[in-house]
Amino acid sequence: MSSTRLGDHLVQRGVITAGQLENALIQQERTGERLGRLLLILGHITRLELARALAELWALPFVVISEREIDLAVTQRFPLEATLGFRAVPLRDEGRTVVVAVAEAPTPELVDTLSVVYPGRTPDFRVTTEWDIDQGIRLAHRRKVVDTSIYGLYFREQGESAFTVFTLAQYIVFGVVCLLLLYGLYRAPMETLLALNVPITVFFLLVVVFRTYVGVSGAASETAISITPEQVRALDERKLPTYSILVPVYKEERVIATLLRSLGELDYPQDKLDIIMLFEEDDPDTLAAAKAAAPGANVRFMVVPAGPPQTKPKACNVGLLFAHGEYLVIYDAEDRPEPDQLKKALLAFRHGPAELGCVQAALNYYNWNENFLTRMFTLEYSFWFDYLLPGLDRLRLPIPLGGTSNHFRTSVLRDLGGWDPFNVTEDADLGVRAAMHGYRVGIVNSTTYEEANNELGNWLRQRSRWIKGYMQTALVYSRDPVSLIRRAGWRHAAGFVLLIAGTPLIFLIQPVSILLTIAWLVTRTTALEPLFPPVILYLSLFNLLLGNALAIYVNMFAVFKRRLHVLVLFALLNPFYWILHSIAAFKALGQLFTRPYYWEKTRHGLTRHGLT
Amino acid sequence: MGSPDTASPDTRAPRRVRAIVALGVAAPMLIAALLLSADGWRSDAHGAFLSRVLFALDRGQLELLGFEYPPLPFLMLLPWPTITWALVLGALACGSLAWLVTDDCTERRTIVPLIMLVSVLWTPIGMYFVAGNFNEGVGLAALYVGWRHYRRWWSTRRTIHGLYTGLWLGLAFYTSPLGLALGLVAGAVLPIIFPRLQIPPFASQLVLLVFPGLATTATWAYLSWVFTGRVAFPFTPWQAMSPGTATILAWSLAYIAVSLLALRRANLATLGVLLPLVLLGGANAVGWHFSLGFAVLLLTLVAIVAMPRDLARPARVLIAGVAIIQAIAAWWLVPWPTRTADDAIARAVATALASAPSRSVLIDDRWADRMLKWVPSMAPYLTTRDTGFEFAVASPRETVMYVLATPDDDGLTLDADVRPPPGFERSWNWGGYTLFRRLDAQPLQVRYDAVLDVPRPGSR
Repeated sequence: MSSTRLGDHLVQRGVITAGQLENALIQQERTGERLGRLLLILGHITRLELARALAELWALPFVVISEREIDLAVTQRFPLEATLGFRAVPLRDEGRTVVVAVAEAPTPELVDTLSVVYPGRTPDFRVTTEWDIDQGIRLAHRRKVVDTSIYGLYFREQGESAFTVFTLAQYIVFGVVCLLLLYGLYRAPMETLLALNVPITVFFLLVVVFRTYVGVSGAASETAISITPEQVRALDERKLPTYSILVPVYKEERVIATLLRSLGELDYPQDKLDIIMLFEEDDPDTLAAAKAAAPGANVRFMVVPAGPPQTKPKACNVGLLFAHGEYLVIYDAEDRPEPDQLKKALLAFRHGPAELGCVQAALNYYNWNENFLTRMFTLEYSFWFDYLLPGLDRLRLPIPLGGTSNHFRTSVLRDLGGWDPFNVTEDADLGVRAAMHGYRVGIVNSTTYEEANNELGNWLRQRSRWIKGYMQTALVYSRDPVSLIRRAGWRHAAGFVLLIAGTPLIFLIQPVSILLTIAWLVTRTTALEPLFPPVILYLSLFNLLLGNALAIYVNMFAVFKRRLHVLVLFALLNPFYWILHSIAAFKALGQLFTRPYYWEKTRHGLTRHGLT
Repeated sequence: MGSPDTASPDTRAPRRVRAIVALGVAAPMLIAALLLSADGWRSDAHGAFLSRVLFALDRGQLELLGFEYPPLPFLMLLPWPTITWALVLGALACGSLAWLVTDDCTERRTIVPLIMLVSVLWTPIGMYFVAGNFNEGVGLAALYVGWRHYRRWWSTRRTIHGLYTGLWLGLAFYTSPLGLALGLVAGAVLPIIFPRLQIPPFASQLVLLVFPGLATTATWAYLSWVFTGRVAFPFTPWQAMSPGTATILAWSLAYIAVSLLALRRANLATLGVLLPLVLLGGANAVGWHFSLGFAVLLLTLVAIVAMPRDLARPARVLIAGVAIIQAIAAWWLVPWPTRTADDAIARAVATALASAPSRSVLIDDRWADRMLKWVPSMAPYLTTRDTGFEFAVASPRETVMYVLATPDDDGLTLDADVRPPPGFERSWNWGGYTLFRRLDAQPLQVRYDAVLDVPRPGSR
């Protein structure tokens, strides 16, 4: 069936006008997209009208998929993977034929596969809409979709899933260490505390040196991997691949309209966007708000089946199952990506090495100047995304992905097993897993603006979740240190330990250091002297003085680079901000034992500021 | 401070060329310095650095350096506390300056900057600088690297160069209080000199440039307070050790020439040319010591960066000629470093005491710098920095085997120059040094012949 035949047919039927057809054909010349999809995106026809027209052209019956139409026993015999791949849903067995709903013209491969699954039956094709196909899959394969999205990674590679929080070996090691510590404290308290202080101080020093070195490396590479506007302009839109955008939303009714507007402003052919909005079953308000916003035809709504754990990665895994795009990106509800981000990410993939599986865009905040928290948060993000991650990239070290704006080759993401729904920083975990599997993560010079947390309680909830996720990730990859080193190499393993394991550890240790310093300053006691023999004392002082000064200084430049000059002086307040991190770290540690998979929801839409 | 630099970072000289020039400038100076050392000449500064480092290493406690300022030379000598290493560090600093100035030559397509540098370094003034205080060389190199990064920051807008600028300025503070002063002034003045940078507001850039200096100052103050109970400032009582402004200017003819050229096109940059001179004058007034070589080289580097890029060939020839004439005059008028009789005596005493058992020689080290600068180890000495010093002063017979009174000792702490401590006898008295030996201790002999060939003081 040619595009012209469909177009002519629709004009003859009076569904569209000749002018609308001409307009769509002009668009098709520019982007190379199929006419039916273009007419949908342009709003000239509905899905129902398109499906009916195709049914008439293909001389096949039209069908609407509902629970009554489906014989689950028949449908479920067709594997989920084949259903998703062919976008075909077998509906019922009629003895000599099997009725199959399709949204696209049936291919010989589909016919062959059906003859294998349903031997002795001839396919009897019916035409339906894309939405009905998705609906049919969800009706027939609900259990399988849920299981795959929750346990897909666990069944594939248990060792990479955070489903098991502590392995038996880890329990034994921790238990032995605790017993030894208690025994030591009983028999020789000062010596034991000294033995504890030495590795902690040395580790602290290593983390300080590592982060400074990586940060400076990132600063040095700030223009090394940029995609220029000229390169973006030179892209041939006809050759752009389909890009899937996953947007997991939960209780985001306040920001959903803004999100859809931001996605509509993306500089990418709308007909080549496959936007999947993922809703939770217990959140009808957000779904209603999204429907009220009347999004374009390239937006699909998907309700994630209920069931624990109710986490963002589980929703993303559902989206991944249904994604069509060659590339895929995650955005959060409050995100405002720079319009050319998809094109830049695509160029980064095209110019990057074959093993480049993911590209991370920078994150920053549009409400940076709202209050103390948002300023400090912006300082932190500017350092993290503009200096630290580019530094890790430059040094070829594992990159913990940020929560959103991670662009993937969809095939690589599927190969990695998607996200770990039991890990509450599934993004960081995925970055490390990619490195373990030999993929690289790159950084692209585009920014997504988000809403910084402006309430302390909300901030602590979010931060404790992040730190708990880092703890989970550290536990997952430390289960088999030998395997970690063998698979990733010494450098990657060291980078992983210092960044992923180091971050929560530093925040847990920091309050103890501060309290000891204050105690000494106030009392000038000599009781602490045995804990700080000369070398340890010098290292501790280095950590305290130069470590803090260097961290503050590099942070100053990160916001200077962002031209947020007012924040330069705020970097001096970082030590106070780090205390908040420590509070969150202790909360995270508690939750790791009591509610390891609990996803502390961050509320959005609290800001009073618009995008500046 | 020169015209704006629009050159890209790629206009630097090839690395091999810079290395050859640096080696060519530094190697002869290192050889000359090693020969001087072999001949028995050692500067007071190097001697002070070494004796303190040896002391800290022997006692195993860095804080026993007593928060002497500046701290960087002590830290740099820790890995290999010898005079040879100090001289190598001095030569390395000069080589670094030559390396950096080579870039100026490439950017300006003239060899005049290198001539200006060498005409100071390859003279007795430069020799005192290299062989006398490597720390000043390191400080100057740090300041110059900071300056070059600032220029690249300004021309490329890449924040990494701003970061490096601040860090190098901060490092310079650890070599001299002038590093802090120059860093603070640079932070305040550079954004004015280079208004094209225009990264508003001005205050944020100023903070970025001065933060490292202030942070290092605060760090230093805190550390000194932790370890000594008082905040040590980088300040020493005024002594007539630093050269006066007139002397500095007399040996900075190339700087004067460039300053006059800058004054002809008076603008904000002119301020940058004159400021270092004002700073040197101020530093002298408050007792921040520096050598003539440091001052002249600082002004020479300022002249190099301030030399207009579009300078006509005759003017460039004039500046080079002035520099060469100055070098010849320096060879003519400034005496080459020569060992003195006092040094020879102090060295002989230090050698004699080197074989004494650990902590067996009671000494008031505050008055013994001349002798201590020659010691190969501080192990034999019990000094004012040791916890047992006061007890040893009260009961020397119970604590030490020897008591040494030095020529500079005021006798307030050790009254040994008045009478022998109880249970001790005078072992020898030579060149102002008096050694008292406990009656049961082995005699320590001085090789008197070690100083027989020393020229008499004042004969050079």
